[in-house]
Amino acid sequence: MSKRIPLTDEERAVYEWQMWVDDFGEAGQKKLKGASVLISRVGGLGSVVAYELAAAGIGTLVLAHAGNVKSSDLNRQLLMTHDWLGKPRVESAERRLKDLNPRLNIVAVAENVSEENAAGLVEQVDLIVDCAPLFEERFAMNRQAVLQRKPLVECAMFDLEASITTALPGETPCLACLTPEKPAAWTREFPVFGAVSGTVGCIAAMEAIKVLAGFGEPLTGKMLTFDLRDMTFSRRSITRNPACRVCGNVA
Amino acid sequence: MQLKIRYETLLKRAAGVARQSIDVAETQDVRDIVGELASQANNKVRSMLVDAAGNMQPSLLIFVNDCQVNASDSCPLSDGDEITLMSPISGG
Repeated sequence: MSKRIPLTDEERAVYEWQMWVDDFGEAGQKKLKGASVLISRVGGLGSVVAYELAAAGIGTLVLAHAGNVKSSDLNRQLLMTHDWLGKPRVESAERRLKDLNPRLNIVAVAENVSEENAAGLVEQVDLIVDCAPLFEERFAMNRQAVLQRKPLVECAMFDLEASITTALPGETPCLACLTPEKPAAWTREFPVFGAVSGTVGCIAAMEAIKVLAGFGEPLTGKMLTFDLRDMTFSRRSITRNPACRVCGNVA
Repeated sequence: MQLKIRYETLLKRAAGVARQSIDVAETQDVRDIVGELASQANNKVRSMLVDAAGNMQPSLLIFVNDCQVNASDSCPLSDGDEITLMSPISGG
């Protein structure tokens, strides 16, 4: 999927230990360097996805997140800091990621994903990680992922629980297959520990790395759910909905 | 037959329990069982399972053991099966 871009000696030194991973190696690292990922919001979940992908040597991150840093962000949004209160979140994210990996290309968009901008954002990348707190944003992203045939890692959390699946348009269920309409019970604000959003964020970053580098078994056609309250993890099969209004006619 | 019911996410919080067991007739399918649970549940749980007309909520995720089932699917149930009910989440 991603282009393979030769590594510099500095990059070989930085990524040496992960290039020892079976089935990944230098070929996988070159694919990551040539790859681009869109992260829809870099909040509690997306911050960790972005941080892990930056550390792993992804070539380009497109970050979409509106608004300024607030005090209530700071228990979980690890790319936001006290000294950036009142200033744009994507700028905070960009400087923190550049501190970690100065080789990283970042496209910082100070907007949340919407029906208006989703197509243009998805066009820029090889893969999407959806970390938005509102179903409306997720639905807009899902529609474009299906239309443009881009893999989408769909991950979310609530309280001490989380769910994650990796959608490949035309092959596996899309978000609308699973959730055809916004659940009435979902509200904009929800209970969250950073360690929970961070756990599912790390899993999401690993899903992106596996899909982009072409190794391992991503959660395609599977949904992983877990509850850190009692450490229950479940991996279950999920199915496409032939009547899905988004991907039902996509083969 | 006896079935294990497992609630996840907002349903678990609203139900106040993660798991329960129920005894049902062998002829009942998943739709019947969700309807029966809704009839016994508090208002919050009921609204996540069924709409005002008693139809199953389209966003309700249902798994029998390790496989997702759609409300319209004919899914034979056996004694001891676990039915997981999950209300989708979107926290980021």
